[in-house]
Amino acid sequence: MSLKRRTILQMIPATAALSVVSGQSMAASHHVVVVGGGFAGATVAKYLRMWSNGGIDVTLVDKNSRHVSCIMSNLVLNGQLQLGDLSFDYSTLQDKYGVRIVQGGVRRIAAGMVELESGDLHECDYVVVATGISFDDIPGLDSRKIPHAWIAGEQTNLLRDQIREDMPRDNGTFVMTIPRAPYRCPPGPYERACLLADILRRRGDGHRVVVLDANDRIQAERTTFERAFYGLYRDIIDYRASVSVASVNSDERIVTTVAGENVHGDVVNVIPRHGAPGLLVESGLTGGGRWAPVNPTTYESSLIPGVYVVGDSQATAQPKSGHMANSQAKVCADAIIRAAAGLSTQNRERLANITTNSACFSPITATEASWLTAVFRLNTETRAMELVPESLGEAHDWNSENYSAMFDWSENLFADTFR
Amino acid sequence: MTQSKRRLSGIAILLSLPFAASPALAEDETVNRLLASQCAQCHGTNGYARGDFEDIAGEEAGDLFEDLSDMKGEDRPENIMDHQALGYSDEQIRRIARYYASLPEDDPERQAGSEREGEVEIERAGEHEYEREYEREYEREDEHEDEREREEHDDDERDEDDD
Repeated sequence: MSLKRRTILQMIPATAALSVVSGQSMAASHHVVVVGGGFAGATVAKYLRMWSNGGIDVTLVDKNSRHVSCIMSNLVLNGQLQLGDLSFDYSTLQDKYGVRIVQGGVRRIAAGMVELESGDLHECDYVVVATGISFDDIPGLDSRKIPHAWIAGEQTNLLRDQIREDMPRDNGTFVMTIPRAPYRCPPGPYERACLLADILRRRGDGHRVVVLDANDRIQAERTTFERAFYGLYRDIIDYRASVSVASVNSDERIVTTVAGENVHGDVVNVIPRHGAPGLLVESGLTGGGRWAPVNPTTYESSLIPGVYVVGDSQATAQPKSGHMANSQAKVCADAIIRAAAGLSTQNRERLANITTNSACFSPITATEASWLTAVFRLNTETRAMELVPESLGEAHDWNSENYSAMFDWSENLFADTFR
Repeated sequence: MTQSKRRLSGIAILLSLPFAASPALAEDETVNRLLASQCAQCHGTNGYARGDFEDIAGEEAGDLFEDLSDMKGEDRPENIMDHQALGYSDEQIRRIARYYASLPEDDPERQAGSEREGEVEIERAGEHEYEREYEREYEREDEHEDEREREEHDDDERDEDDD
């Protein structure tokens, strides 16, 4: 590359920043409202601004002033991290990329319109919905007493504190339940079971971690987790497949299974089944299903044109995770920029190159981790995202090298999303 | 705004992108940009990585292509990148390599001397301290386990059919 070209390239961000600051970007009439500032929403907002050189106005609405990452949050349970390490405000999105940040709940979504709970109306050309998951009700379940800790934040600290305070020194029982797939972060619950076993075997003797899995088998990294459950932690982890929760006694900490068995724990962690949040259901984005159907070449809703759904709420069969949400968000941002430019999102060259990928690390002990990875590509005939089979892989072993790489991975993913 | 005006301003957005304007390129550089952005989750936005993961911005296209092709060709894929590389066609790898080769090797933001805002690096000092503490515990644990194993036999072997 010539020096001259480098110089020109280096000037581009400065020019873009200027046009944002001066508010004189060339196509300011294109306005996108992004609802939800997690991995999907923050990435869409950032990449829309970055790739349009500030040419598209972006407003990010979230009910909270910061996002707390679920990724790495199992390490809050064993005290290695604190929530502050995993909390990201939107100041960089605002200051560096020129995203307008609005804090508030959203009451209603329609094509070209987002209505806040405050009554404020935000009109726009495109709406992006990235509000993650909500949980099914389970009779008797009170998550203030029996935490799910599957949306990170206070729930994570509640579970951490219960583990610290309510598990006895010896012979304690920790019960956790895994919902029917698809749920957020396929390896996550198994990783949590391993970390709990690790915490408890250090605390004393005779502890048990009872894992009630609504699925008929381990959902991710099966080789790794089977080795951990039936090897390293064989004396602690009691894994039971195909066991669903019927009800919970939140005061007595008892889970009653569909088969009628009562399972009592000193600490109980119930993760209910997931679905798209009520906002999407009420706005007509789920069409009676559990998730919002979208076109995976754009993430535009199959039901409401002009509204896009990215991340865990959407119905493509890709795994639900923060890494995947970031990955999909870029496809969505590219599609919206093209749509704003009046250009096709469906030309052959673009479709042939739509990919997403997943990579994640799972701590198996407090010093060792495994990993899982996969690439997905568009099947141009069925128009569905499909796994590239040979790309699917999991670590041959859990070790400290992977554990260290886990921090590099999360650091880069967090930065690519929020910074 | 009329449709044609909108279209024009939209085209201006695309033309303002770094590479779309280059007349020498037959392929759509925004397609390459989208494809290449899928590396950023681990290798940083525009390939400027943090921590110990490799920076890929400004790498020679030939080198990147060769590296990824080698990973793809591993008889027994061993690490994440061996598997990731298998997810892309040679043509896609060439596009990704071309895209990163077109970026400056050093992050313009870092060069400008602007401090990166809001570093997201998680405390590693604490992590290592914790590691050492755990290693000590592991050693004690191992000694303890050896004793127990001598005393006990495999009578507590888990029954794998209990589900």
